[in-house]
Parts: sequence; structure tokens; C-alpha cells
Amino acid sequence: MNQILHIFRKDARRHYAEILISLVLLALFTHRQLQFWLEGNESVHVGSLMFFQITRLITPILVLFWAFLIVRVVQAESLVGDRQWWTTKPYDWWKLLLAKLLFIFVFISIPLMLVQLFLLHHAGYSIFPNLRGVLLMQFTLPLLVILFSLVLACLTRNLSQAMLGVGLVLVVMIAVSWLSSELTRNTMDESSKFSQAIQGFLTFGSVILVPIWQFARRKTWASRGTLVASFGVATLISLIPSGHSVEQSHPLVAAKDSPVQFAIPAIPEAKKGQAVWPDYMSTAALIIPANVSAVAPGTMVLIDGINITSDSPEDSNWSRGWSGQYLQVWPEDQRKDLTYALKRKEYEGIKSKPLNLHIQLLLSEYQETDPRTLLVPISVFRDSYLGICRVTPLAPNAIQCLKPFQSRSYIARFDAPNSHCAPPKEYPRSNLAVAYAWQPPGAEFLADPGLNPMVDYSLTFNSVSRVSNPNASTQPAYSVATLCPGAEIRLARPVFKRQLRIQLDLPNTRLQDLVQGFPGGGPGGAVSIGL
Amino acid sequence: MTAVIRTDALTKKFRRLTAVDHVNLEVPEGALYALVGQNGAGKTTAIKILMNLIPATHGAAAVLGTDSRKIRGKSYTQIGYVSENQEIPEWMKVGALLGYLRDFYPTWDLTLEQSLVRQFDLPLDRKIRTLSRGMKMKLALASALAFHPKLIVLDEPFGGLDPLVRDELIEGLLERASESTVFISSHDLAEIESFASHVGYLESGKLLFSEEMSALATRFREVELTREFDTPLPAPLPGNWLQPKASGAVVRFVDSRFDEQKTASDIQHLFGNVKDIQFRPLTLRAIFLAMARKSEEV
Repeated sequence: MNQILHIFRKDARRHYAEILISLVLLALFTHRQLQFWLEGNESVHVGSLMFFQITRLITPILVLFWAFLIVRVVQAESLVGDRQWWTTKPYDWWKLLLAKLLFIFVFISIPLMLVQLFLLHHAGYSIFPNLRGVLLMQFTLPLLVILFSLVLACLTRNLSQAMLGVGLVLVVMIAVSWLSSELTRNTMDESSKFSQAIQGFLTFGSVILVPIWQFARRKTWASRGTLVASFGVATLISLIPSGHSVEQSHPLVAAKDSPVQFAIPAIPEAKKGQAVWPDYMSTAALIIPANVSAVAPGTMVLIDGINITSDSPEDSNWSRGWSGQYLQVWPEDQRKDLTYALKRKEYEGIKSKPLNLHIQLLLSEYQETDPRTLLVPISVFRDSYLGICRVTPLAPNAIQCLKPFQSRSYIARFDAPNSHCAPPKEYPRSNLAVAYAWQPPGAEFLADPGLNPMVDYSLTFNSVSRVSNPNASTQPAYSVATLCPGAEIRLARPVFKRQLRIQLDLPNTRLQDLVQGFPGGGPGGAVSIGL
Repeated sequence: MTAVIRTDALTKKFRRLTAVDHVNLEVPEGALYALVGQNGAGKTTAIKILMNLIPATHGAAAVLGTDSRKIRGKSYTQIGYVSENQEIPEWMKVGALLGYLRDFYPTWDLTLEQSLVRQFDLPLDRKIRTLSRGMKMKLALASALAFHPKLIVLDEPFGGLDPLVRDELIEGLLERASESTVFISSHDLAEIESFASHVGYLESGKLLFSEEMSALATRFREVELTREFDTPLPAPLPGNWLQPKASGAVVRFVDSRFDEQKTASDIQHLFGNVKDIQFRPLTLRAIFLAMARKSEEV
């Protein structure tokens, strides 16, 4: 223990300037977090708002400075090379490692935890009931920063090498991402749990074991090799098709049994010679308008993904497999635009040929539970489920909330046409439409990654899509929803019900007709909240 | 006498370069062993293997009875290591460094530390980065001596130092040598000759010999003989006659296995009666030059 404290004291003396800078940055971070409500507040002074905008960079700067500090402290007794003074002194490797971890704990983790408790207290939440949450938070972003910096510092000799290492990691990540996009046809295929567990074990295992091994033996090339091999194997596993396809998780059902009914209106022919996509674009996006109906009240259907295939004789293998959609379909929705991208070269080859298209959709069904009515107050309000919330004139399309550790899942419905809230001046009342906000259910036992325990999130309302003529493929009508003090919002928790897959057929269709005439403005329009 | 350092076919390869080539070395307890050789001969590499700073490619080494691959942590409480190219924490002050080191060594002798500080005239309040190279070496040596190490390992400690500082360092070292075994590498033969008890000669990674200085001095002699007639040198000459040269009737060579009776007998056998024979002792430098030239001829 004496040796640990001895090395710790030496490091504290050596790096006092960096420690001070780190604490100042943490203080600035705290100040900024306390000023959260400044953003979007009309009455605030312009100077303060400018300061607030500038200090947006504080968090990344703080995190980067922590990484810098960790690298400096670990490299004070560099583990790479054979000319270091300390290597021929009676250092016990595990005491050296513990001294470095103690430094990180005392000068990074403890100040951060104190700030987090202060922020909780300042927001009006008790400290002791939330202590566990604050401790859990240390296993999110702070742990990632510490582990990454520790590994970097252990495997490099000085700051220049460390920077080079970061550059190398970025290049490899870009290369892997490109390779992955080139090799993977189905962007929605999920890895099996076993494969995910192996990837996690390899990644986190190596990130934890390599520094320990490096401290114990200083076998730099062996450690670097182990890390690269572990990440390489984990990457390879992630690129190998798992066999656990989305088809398995979404069983095919007859279209009539779907919680939402789709109907594709007549698609007009594209005008001749009309150039839609610039030549430099390597992909072409098909847009398929679909009328939606029959969604039961209290239900939301999420269109997770889409796959389009063709069985026409002229067909070539142009399908890119499954791709994500993430479109919400609410009971009042009338039209959704499905989009699907394929390679430009493939598109150009077959665009004018009539094809029999089979459109498969992956759907997830959610249902409301525990519905209740929330009356929008005029000022900041506390809600036991949502946290501390407010609506602001400068961000009128959202109810902003702050909650310890994690945002909430919710389904919020605002019936604008039947409320007393008037539309904005430039719109007639006929533009008012029902609007929804939603956040899917997630793993609520974990803390959100971040430094501030008070997580900010918004209930952003989007009005449902409406069409004047369901048989025509014209754009949906523009809709608005205006909230005002006293407006009633139905608030409920979403519960996942089931996943399924349906197929729609689009016979004798030319792809070029699907990229023209349907700019795809998206469902619905903006929501404004008038107070 | 037990060996403080022992190597067995110690070899280190850096890709195609063999820096240390099957070195068998034994340093007896209490010795002041000098490992000498030209720059790049493999001295520093050998020492780094002994100190477990780099691994050997083949062979083994034991230091103070411990396999050199296991030397770490507490092993260094008995070894004082000083190297000319070691990075000292230059941000520290001299006094702070000594104070920092004190807690690492159970045998640290504060009185000895103070005595060394006085002897080397070390400025305790100055930052190490402001010290001259000589002062840094003195500080390194003081920190390596103050805990009464059983083994002191010095890698080219005198390189580039002015003679005054060098003498101070040697003096400091010799004062402590009675309680320790000293293993020192150097390419400066003159300074080694004055105090080493044992010497090993490393040439291109190979240990050409390793023995006591007194034995070495006895074993090598420059021989000068004067013949009656100027005739060509007979062939073959004994292998231990290095650099044989004839200049008229005078023949000179270095005998690397000198035995007065045997050498005289060999001369008699090869040259018949000679007018005069002289045997002259050689300096260490002359011995190594003869050895180096022999290896170049090979």
C-alpha cells in the first residue's frame, strides 16, 4: 500500500497542472449543465445564450482532456521500450497499476461522481436513493474513456505514439465500416446472442486483460498483437452471416391478419427524359406510396424494415436485402411512403422494364398501457413518470424533460382538432391533425451513456399523415397541431406485443416510375405548440 | 567462488543481425568485471538481457541465482543499474528523486546517501533536467549505490564524460566495490585497466575471452627475437602467435598463451639459434588490438 501511495503522490505532484485544468473543465461542465434551461428560453440574455452555445464543446473537451491525463499519467512510467529508468527499480507491477488506477479514481471518477450527485441534488432529487444510479453511470461513458485511454497509454511510448494510435484506430474503424457495408446485403440481420456474447467477451476481455498483461510483463508487441487479434476476430464474427435472419424473428402472416392494412394507389408513369438523380449518386431510392388503415385505437405499428424482390423474367439480382424503415403508423394515419435504395448501376439496367415486385415489410406492434391525461401547464412542471418538464416558446414542437439516469418510454397523443388550442395564424383550422410522440421501451435498468445524471429528452409531436384522395398518389396534405396551456395529452406507456412480416405485391411496375413524382415529403407536417 | 552472473549460450538476434552470439560468461562474487568491446559489439544488448529489459533469443542467464527472465520488482532491491542511455525523470529535483527512491529499498542507507551527495557534490534543489551529463551520471550512480546492492551493473557509465568526472565516478564506485560485485561495460580500455579485476572481450557478439586481469596480463606477451640471418618466416607458425612480422632479421609477434619455456622452445624449433629474445608485457589496449586484428584476419 505504501508503494501505491508513494507512486500516487509522485504522480499527483508531477501532474498537478493537468489535474487543475481537468477540475476547471469539470466545473465549467457543471456550470453548463446547471444552465440547461437557458437554451430555448426567450427571456434569457443573448450573451448568456452565446456563452451557452460556445460551452457546448465543454463535454467533448473534458472527455478528451481526461483521456490525455490518463495517457500522461500511465506513460510517466512508460510500459513500452527498454530505456525507462523505473524498469530497473523495485516496482511491483500490480502496485504500479493500482497507483495509476487510484490516480484515475481520485482525480477523475470521484470529482465526476460528486458533480453528478450535486446535479441530482440541484434538480431536486435525493442523493441516497440515486447513489446506485450514479455508481452505475460510471460503467458507461466514464469507463469507456478510462479503458480506451488506459489501453492506448499501455501500448504506446509517448503522446505522439498515442495520437498515431488513435489515428490508426479511426482508419481501421472506417475501413471495417466500409467493408461491412460492402459485404453485408441485409443491413437488418441480427447477430445471434452467442455471437454477440463472443464479440463482447473478445472486445471487453482484451481491453481489460491487455493493460494488466502489459503492466505485468511489458510484452508490448505481444499485447498489441493480442488486442488486434481479438478485435479482428470480433470484427470477422460480426461480418459472418449469423443465420439468425429477420425472417426468423418476424414470422410471415397473411396481409389480412396484419394490424395495419396497406393499399398501394395507382402509380403514374414517369415523364420521358426527366433526369431525377444526379450522375454522382451511387444509389437510387425507390419511393412507394402506401395507404394505411385499420390500426386499432391505442395501438402503434412500427414498420421496421423493407425488402423488395422481383420474379419477372427480366429481373436481375438487384435486391440489396432488408433495409430499415422505422416508420410509425398510428390509427389516424392515412399514407406512408416506403423507401428502398438499390445500386444506381443495377437500377439503370432495369429501370424501364416492367417487373412484378414483391414488397415484404417487417412490422412491430406496440400497445398503450396505463393511459392517463396530462394537462399541459404554462410553466415548468414535475411529473412522477416523465421527470421535470416544460414547454418553451423557442422550441414549440416539444415538451422538454429532465429525468435522472434515463429517458422514459412513452406514447403521447394530442387530439388537436378537438382541443381548444388554435392553429398558427397562417393556417386554417382544417389543417389541424392528431399528433403523436413516442419513445420505445428500452432497457431501463441501465443508465444512459453520458456524464450528466439528469438526462434530457423531448416528447416531440408529429401529426399524422392525411390524404385528400386515397386513390391518387399525390402528396399527403400538410397538417399541424398546436398545443397550448391546458391542452389535454393522453400519456401512456408502450408495451411490445408482437413482430410479424407481410407481403405486398406490385405487379407490372417500372422502377423509374417509383423514383419520379413521389418526392416523399414524409408523413404529416410540423407541430407547433402555442402557449 | 559462486557466480553472481552466469550465462549459457546467451544469444540475441535482431532479425538478421546477431547482437549476442552464444555467450558463456561467469562473473564471480566480489569481482569487478569489465565487459569490453568496440561500439556495437553487443555489450549493451547483453546487459539488457541480464536485466530482463529485453528477452534473449536463445540460451539462458542467471543473475544472483535468479533466471534473468524472472528479474523484476523486488529483484532490483539487490541490483544497482546505471546506463548511459537510461531516461531519468528529468522533471524531478535531485533531492526529490533520492527521497522518492528511498521508500522502494528496505536497505536504503540515508547516511550513505548523504555521503554520496557530498562526495559527488550533487545539488539537491536543482531540477535534473538542468544538470550536466556528468552530474546526471553521478546522480544515477549515487541512487544505485545508496542501498548497498549486491550487484552493481554499469553500462558505459563513463562515455563522453570529462576525465575529472570520470575519476570521481570511478573513485565513488571503488569505495563501494568491496561490498558488491561490479559488472561494467565499456569501450574505453584505459579506464578499465586501472581497476577491473576480471575482463571479458566481446567482438561482434562473440565473447572472445573472459578471465582475470592478472591472468590475462601474464598470458599475453610481445615477443621480439633477432635472428642471425634475414630469411622468410617459416610456415606454419603456432596459432597463438598473433600478428607475426619480420623486419630484416628481427621478428615480432604477440604470444597469446605465453609460457616462457615453451615459447623459447618453439622459437628454437622454428628459427634455430637466435641472437636475442625479449619478452615484453602488454597493455590491455595492445592485447585487445592484437585480438581485434586477429579476428579481422579471420
